[in-house]
Amino acid sequence: MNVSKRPRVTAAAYVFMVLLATARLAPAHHSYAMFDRTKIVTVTGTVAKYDFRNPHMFLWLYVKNPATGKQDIYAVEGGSRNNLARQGWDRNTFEEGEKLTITLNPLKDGRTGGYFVKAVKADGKTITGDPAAGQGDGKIPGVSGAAQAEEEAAEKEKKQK
Amino acid sequence: MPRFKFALFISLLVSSAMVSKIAAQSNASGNKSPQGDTWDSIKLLPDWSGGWGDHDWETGRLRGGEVSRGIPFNAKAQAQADSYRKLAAAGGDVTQRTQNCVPSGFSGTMGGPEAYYEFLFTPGRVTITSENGLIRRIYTDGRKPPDDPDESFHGYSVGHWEGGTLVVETIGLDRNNSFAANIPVGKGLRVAERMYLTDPDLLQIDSVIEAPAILTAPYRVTKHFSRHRNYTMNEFNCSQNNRDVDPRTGKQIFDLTPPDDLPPPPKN
Repeated sequence: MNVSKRPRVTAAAYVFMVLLATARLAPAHHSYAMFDRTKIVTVTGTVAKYDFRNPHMFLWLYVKNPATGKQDIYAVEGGSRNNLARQGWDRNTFEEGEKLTITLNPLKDGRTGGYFVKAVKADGKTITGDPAAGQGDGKIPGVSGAAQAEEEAAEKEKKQK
Repeated sequence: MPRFKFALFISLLVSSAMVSKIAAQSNASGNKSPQGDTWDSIKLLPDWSGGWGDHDWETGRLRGGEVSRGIPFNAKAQAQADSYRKLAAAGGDVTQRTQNCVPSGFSGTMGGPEAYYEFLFTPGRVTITSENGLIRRIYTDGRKPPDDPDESFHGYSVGHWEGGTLVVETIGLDRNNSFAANIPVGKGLRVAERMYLTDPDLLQIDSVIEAPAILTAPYRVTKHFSRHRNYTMNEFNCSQNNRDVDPRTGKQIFDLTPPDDLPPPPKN
């Protein structure tokens, strides 16, 4: 795959064009409101099923619950097959039965599941998710993050007046 | 004398109209650009082969934002946009038209993380396909668009080449299309586009969107697409594994019902 080139314009002109554009942008498939993308949680478990399909990848994981001693099932959603494939994922990225340590943005309602941030395999190899995942720095990517930034800017402007 | 002035006025008016008509004809006949009306003519068109991704999204410059400020919304649409932004900022469930697997439509802009595009040239037509299912047929055979076409998600597009620039006019777009804040565009959406390479692997699309139901003035948008040569187009079937939306209500859910074919859990 070739590395794309940028247009021949100055940085300032580019930023200006971008500001002018304010186009409808990448609102993915849904709003992600069910995930707390300001937080990350890490769990270790065994892959029960890896579903590399659209509109979202799903990874089902058995995770031992230390309180009950039973194996809880975790549902971990990720990006679209198209998006992840362009990051190098394919249907063989994970295998049933393999051990993984997964970082995820947890579900707000407390159920066992969340949005895929990254996974570390037994050999130390790290697989990263798509840009919709929050990285645990308190910032929300995507539509909500952009809207937050706009709201903060508007608030600041109001105070300055 | 008043009669003379009136005659002079009419004479000037007729002359002016004739000049305009001649100028228009001259412009039309003066455009010697190959129009891609034959296979031989297509060889003279610019090379737009390969897969094209949303450059603005890929470079992170506009990733994920649905920035509704700066769009000349009318009061009603502005109120909807403000409400949408506030809900999004609070991490709320901002409805996306696509979340219920409604087919993707053209609304004046293209792009997003799922969709790579390709441009297919055949005699008298440019076809734009997208991984998310959108197919746009742009007729370059000189036809006029129908006066009042039935609405569709892709609309009715006619175009012509001005050198290496494809100039496109689109009408007949479904009123439920949206280009910002998920606000339906309403009746009468009209989009003018100029598509051209600014670099061998960078395509720019300048659009002017007229949406009288929600805008007070035409809205200008510029988007960039980067070429990925030898790219194999993928598919995006939204209904394959959609666990995020209740199809009856359209509300967001997260269906944690495990698949039937899960293996038994490990013993320790």
